Parts: sequence; C-alpha cells; structure tokens
Amino acid sequence: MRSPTAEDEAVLVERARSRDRLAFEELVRRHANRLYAVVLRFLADPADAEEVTQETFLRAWRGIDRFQGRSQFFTWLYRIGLNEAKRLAIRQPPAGKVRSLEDEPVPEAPDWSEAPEVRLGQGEIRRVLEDAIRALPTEYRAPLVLRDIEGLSTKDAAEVMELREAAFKSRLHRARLAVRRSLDEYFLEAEK
Amino acid sequence: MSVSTWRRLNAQRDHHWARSRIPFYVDRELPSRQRRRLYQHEQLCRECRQMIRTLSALQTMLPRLRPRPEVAERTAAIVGARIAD
Repeated sequence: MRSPTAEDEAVLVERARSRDRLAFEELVRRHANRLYAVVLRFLADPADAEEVTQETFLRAWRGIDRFQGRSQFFTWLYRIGLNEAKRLAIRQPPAGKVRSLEDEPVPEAPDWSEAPEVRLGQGEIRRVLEDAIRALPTEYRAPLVLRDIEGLSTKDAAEVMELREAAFKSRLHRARLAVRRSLDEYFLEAEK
Repeated sequence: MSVSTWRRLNAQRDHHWARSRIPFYVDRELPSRQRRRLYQHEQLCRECRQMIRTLSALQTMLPRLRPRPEVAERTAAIVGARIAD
C-alpha cells in the first residue's frame, strides 16, 4: 500500500468539506494517533485524552467549512486539539507540581551530555525527563511537545500555537532550559 | 581603556551574543557566518560549551519519549458513528 501524500490529503480534505463522511473518517485514521499523543501530554488520564481527541475531530467536522487551506490540515487540527486539552486541563487539578521556569544553570552541574544513561535514554533518565516535562507550565510544555517530541517544524509548531516564530522559539528555549535544569539536578545529586 | 579591559568587555559582549544564539545553533538554524562565530566562542567558553552539549543531548533524548498509541481505528469508528447521526 503506498504511503499517503500531501496530494491525497488535500483531496480528502476537499471531499470532507463537501460532507463526505468516509473521507473525513480516513483523515481521522491518519491523524488520531499523533493527535492523541499530543493531547495526552496535557491530561493525566488516557481516557480523557481519548475523549478530547474524539471531541477535536467532531469539532473539526462541524467547522470544516471554516478550514480555508491556508495552513496544513494537521496544524489546524492540532490547534483545535491543543485548545480542547488546555480547556480540560484547567478544570482538572495538576497531576504534579508545576514548577516556575528557571533558566539559569545549576551551579557546579556536571556535563552529563556523554553519560551512558543519556545515550541509552532509558530507565531513571526517562522518568526524570517525563516528570520535568509534566512540571512545565502548559504554555511552555506545548512548544517542547510539538517541536522536540512530536517532531513538527518550528514553522508548523508555531502555527499550531498561533505564535510568531520568534515568540515560539523563545518559549521553546525556556522550556528546554527548564528540562535541562532537572537533568542538571539529577546528575549533581548522583555525584554526591 | 587598557587592552585587558577591552578584551574583557569584548568577551562579555561575545558571550551575551552567543547565549542569545544558542537556541538557533542547536537547531541548526543559524546562518553560516554566525555559526562560525558561535563555534569559535564555544571553543573558548566553558559555560556555553556545556550548554550547547547538554541541549544537544536533550535533543536526541526527547524524540524517544514519543509514544506509539493505537487509537486510530477506535477513534475513526466512534467519530464516524457520531457524524452519521
């Protein structure tokens, strides 16, 4: 089976705009997994994340006439999904402690860039990373999730968040520094 | 102004400039001339060198956190049923 192309997707979107339900279902199949993965980063409960993912697609179906094609379909979709997730997340108590952003380096932190556990990226390091990401305020977590975990380009990720690229980049950098700080603290503690 | 003062001020200005460019450097988004300038600063400045190395290491770790959920078929079925109503 050949992989979907941008042209295939443009055809599907056009058919969905003409209220072709099968075309829209195919769009759901193509984007649901990645959308769910993004939404899950903002909600503690996988069941909530699934519900928000479904609700996102339903909103997209209802509003598909408003999709003009000026951006890519998935950036429009992710924008809806992110807003839905944030709306629900505000109503829920935070799963863990949200730390304020500190971007100054930890004094005396070692250079852990070549540490074996960093190269493997498994086990305790993974837990430290996941905790650090969860502790980010939502408006800083989103750039990191979209760009660095899900692999969107800076341009596409900024578009999802409706930010100019410079503003997006600034938030992304602060988020990275905050996560890096968690790793600084972890490795400093490990040295003791 | 003495030569040593001039050098110190120049190094501080260079460091300040480098810190502001590191996010673009790590993402390979700097024009080549700025990239070369920052690379030269990196060789001299321990703090910037460590920041670049650790941020680059972070860049390799974060994509590995990406989950591989399998909700597509279930979501398509549920959404399909709802929009058919």
